Amino acid sequence: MSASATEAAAFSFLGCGVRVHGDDPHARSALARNFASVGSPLGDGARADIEMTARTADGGWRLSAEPAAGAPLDVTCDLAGLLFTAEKHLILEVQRLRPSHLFLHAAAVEAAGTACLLVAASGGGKSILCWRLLQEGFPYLSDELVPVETGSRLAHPYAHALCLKAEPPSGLPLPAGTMRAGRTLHVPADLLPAPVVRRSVPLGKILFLEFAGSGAVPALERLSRAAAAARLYPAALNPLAHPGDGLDAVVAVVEAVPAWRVRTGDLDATAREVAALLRGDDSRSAA
Amino acid sequence: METPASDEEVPPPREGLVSRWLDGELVLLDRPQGKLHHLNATASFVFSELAETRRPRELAERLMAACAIELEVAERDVQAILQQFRELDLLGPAGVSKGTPAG
Repeated sequence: MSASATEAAAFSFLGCGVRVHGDDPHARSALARNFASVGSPLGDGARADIEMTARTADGGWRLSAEPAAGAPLDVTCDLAGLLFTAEKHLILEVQRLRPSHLFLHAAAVEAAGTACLLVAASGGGKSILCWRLLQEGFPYLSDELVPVETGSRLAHPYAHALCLKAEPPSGLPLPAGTMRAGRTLHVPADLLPAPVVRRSVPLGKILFLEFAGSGAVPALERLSRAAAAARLYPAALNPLAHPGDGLDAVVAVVEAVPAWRVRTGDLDATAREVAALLRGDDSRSAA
Repeated sequence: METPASDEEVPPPREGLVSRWLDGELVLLDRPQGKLHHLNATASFVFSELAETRRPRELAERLMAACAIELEVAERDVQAILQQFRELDLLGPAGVSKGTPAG
C-alpha cells in the first residue's frame, strides 16, 4: 500500500508538519475526521516533523511513532484510546518543537475577535459548556488545548473533533456524523453548530469553571491577577520547560487578560451567564 | 483565660519557592511540589516581612503599622496566617534553609 493510500491526516499545526497513517479504513476515517480542522493542509511533498501510524492489532489498533527525541511510541488500544493517544503524542511533540508557546489545557471560543478560555479540571465540564456556547453561535477554537504564544499572547486554534464523555442533556442533540468511540463521543469540527476559527486571535478572557452541582445557581466572580495565576498555572502543560519554570509566562498572561471564576450549575443557565459576559455584559460579574 | 500567643521565631520560607508580586498579592511557585499558591494582600505582607523578622510579635507590629489596625487584631491575623503557611508547607525547618526572599 502506498504512503498516500494509508494517509489519514496531513496538516501543519503551529508550523509543524504532521502525518497520520492508518492501515484500515475505520481507523483512517476516525483519525481523518478527528484532525480534519486542525491547522492547515500539508502539501504532498512537504516534510513531516511528526508521523504516526495506526495498524490493526488484537481487536484494536497499535499506534506507533518514532519521535526525533525521546522514547518511541508503541501503544495498543481501542478506538477511544487511539484518538486519545494520537492527540497526546501530537501535543507532546508540538510542545517540544514549539517552546515559544504555552500550551494550556482549556476549551476556547471566540467572542468579539478574541479568545475566551474555559479552564477546568479534567471532567470539570469545559467541553459540554463549549458545546453549549457553540449553540449560541460563538466560533470554536478548541475544547481541549490552546497554545498561547508567550510574547504576543495570541491564542492558536486546535479545532479537533469536540470530545464529550457523555451524551449532552436533551435539547442539545449531537449531529448524525458524531463518532461514537465507546467511552467518548467525538463531533468533527465541520459538524459543529458554529464556525471554526482558523487564525490566531488575542486572548480576551479567561474563565475558571468550578462545578457547584446541577441545581446550583451559576455565578461569576472577577478574580485578582494573583488568584488567576494560581488557577492558570495548573492548566499549563509542562510549565517547567519554560523560563522561570513557566511562572513568568503565566503571570504575563494574567497581567494582560481579565479572569473570572465561574460557579457552574445548570448547563443552560450557566451558558446564559457566560454568553452575556462574552457579549460584553460585565455587570453580571461580582467585583 | 486565653493563652498568650507564642513569640517563638518561626522557620524561614522554605527553599525552592519562587515568588512574583501581582497587584499587591504574591503568587508562590513551589517547584518541588509543583504547586502555585496565591496569598491575599495581608498574607503576602507577612510572607514578605519574613525576610526581615520571623518573630510573630514583631510581624504583628509591622502589620499593625502597615494596615492601621489594633495590635490584638494584627497578632491574631499573624498567628492565623503563620498557621496557614505551616499547613501549606511554605516554611522550612528552622536553622536549615536561608529561604527565598519574596519579590
